[in-house]
Amino acid sequence: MNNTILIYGLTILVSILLIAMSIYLIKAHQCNALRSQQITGFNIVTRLRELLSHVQQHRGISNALLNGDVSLTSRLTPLTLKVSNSIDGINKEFKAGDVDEQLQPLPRWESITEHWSRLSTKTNQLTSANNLQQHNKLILNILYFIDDIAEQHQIYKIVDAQGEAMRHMWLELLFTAENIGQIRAIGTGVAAANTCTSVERIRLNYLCHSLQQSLDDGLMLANSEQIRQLLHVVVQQVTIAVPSIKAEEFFNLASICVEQILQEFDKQLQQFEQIIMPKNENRTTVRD
Amino acid sequence: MKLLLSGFFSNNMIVSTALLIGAILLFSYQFFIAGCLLLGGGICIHVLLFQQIKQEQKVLLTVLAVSQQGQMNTGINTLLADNNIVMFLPILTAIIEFNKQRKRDFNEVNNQNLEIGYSAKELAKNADETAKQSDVQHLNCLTTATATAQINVSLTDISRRIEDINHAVIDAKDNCQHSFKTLVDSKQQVSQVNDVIIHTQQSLQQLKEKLDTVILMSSVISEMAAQTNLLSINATIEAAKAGEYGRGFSVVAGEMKMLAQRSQTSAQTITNKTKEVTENMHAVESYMQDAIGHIDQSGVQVESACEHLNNIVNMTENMAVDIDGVAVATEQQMYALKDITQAVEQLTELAAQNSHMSIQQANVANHLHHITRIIQ
Repeated sequence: MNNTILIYGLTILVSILLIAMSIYLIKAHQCNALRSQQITGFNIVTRLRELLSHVQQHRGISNALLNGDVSLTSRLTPLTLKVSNSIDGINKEFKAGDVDEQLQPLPRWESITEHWSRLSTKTNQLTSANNLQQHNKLILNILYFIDDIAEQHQIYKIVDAQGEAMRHMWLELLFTAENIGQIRAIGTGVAAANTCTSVERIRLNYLCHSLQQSLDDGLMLANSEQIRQLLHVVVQQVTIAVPSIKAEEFFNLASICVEQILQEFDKQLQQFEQIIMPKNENRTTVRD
Repeated sequence: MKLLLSGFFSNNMIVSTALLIGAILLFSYQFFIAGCLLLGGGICIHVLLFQQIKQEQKVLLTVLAVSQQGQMNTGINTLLADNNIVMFLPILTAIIEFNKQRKRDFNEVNNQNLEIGYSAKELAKNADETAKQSDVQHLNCLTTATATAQINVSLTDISRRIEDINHAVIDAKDNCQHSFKTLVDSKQQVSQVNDVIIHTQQSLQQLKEKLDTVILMSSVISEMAAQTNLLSINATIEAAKAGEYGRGFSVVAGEMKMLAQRSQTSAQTITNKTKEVTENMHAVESYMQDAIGHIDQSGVQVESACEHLNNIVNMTENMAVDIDGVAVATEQQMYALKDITQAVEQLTELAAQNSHMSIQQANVANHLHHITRIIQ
């Protein structure tokens, strides 16, 4: 009888231990999978940020060219190559990621790559307005894709308490950079054409108005002076009958503002990097 | 460790452990205890599943309520974190994705709406400016129309005056031609007078010649009178010599002497008169010579006057042609001005319509802006 009780007891104990060990292993695997997913997502987001920057520059330069400023021709081909390289890099990240990611179709990413492949070959054949519209759609898709990837790879969960606030700040930074990017593209086109149509003037005024509201709301305090200077230049030298600024000069001025905003975004990325990656772990280098 | 403990002591783990032990006992032929454990586990699973379904249904309803309030991302993530959602997770994920896309669409539409609102505001400003400028244009058109009408009146007056000048020039030309003809007639008459004078001179010359003959004959008569006087004297002498017988002869001789004296006197008178006539003829000839000189001078002056008149006629004809040209140009200007006046009148009407339309556009743009603000 005692043996029977002992056997039962041991059986129950061993069973409990086996179950506990299994649960522990499952949880540990889940933690590793989450971290791996976050690292992959982080790498993709980093590359997408580079892609975003390049496409935005491509929009500005191509718009200037289509408006007749050939002095920027030499900058377009390298930018096209950079965008294509960024897309290739992101595709590699997807292949290096989880099996789920390889199998799971990413309609938005496929849409982005297809859109770029069409746009990159037909840039010279488009009208200025259509070129701008196509680039805007592509960039908006990239911005949404960054949000999707960050959410899908649970990057927002890295800081649990501030997850939503972080997401909001990320999106605010990226959309503000896109806002300045649109000002850069339209303004460069206007300066290149040496004339400002009423539609361009209204669009620029609207974008500047939105940017001014962001400044008034207290966002981007670190870069406010540079952005105010850009707004001043737009009002004084671009949205007039005959713009008095050169296309390249305005492009460079606006690019400084865009880069400063994107550097804020990079700082956020660095914070996440410090949380999710040990110091001895290599990170994918994407800087040019 | 915390995760391990939380998982270990959860309801699901207890049920799973009971079922596992029941299965082990079943293999050990302890059917009663195994049956009890399996039955208890089954009942627990049923109860837990029922509770889970109820809980998840409740959460789903909460999620749907949250989604309608537009707080999807924040609200749903919190709910999913607070509640252990398993069964409805795919549905909830689909809802989240749908909601995210809807939120993005909403943001895009909202941004477009903001831009439309801003554009409408700018459009309203532009339309206001256009209305003001149209008003100014309308006033300018009215001023231009008034000025054009005044120019039209002036041109009509100028045209009338040009017509009068044209008539005056034609009259002057006719008068000049008439004067020219008169001068030509005068010239012919002067020429005729000249001819008459020349004929008169010739007649005077013939008269002079005849007077010379008369003078010659008068001298012959005078000589004959002198001879006759001499004969009478001789006859008187001879009569004296004859005495009584010669008394009658002395009377005849006396009568012959008287006749000779009278012939002498008459011849002298004829000679004197002839000389006077000759002198008068010389004077007349001199006057006629002067007259011929004056006539020649008059002829030259008449010739010059004719030439001047001819020039005046030619110049008048040229002037008439020029005036015709000016009249035609003025007429064309009047037609052009008429067209300009009509165009300016149309412009004035259009400016007024544009002003009205701009105000309407401003109202529409303001309305659009108002609508977009309501939508926001």
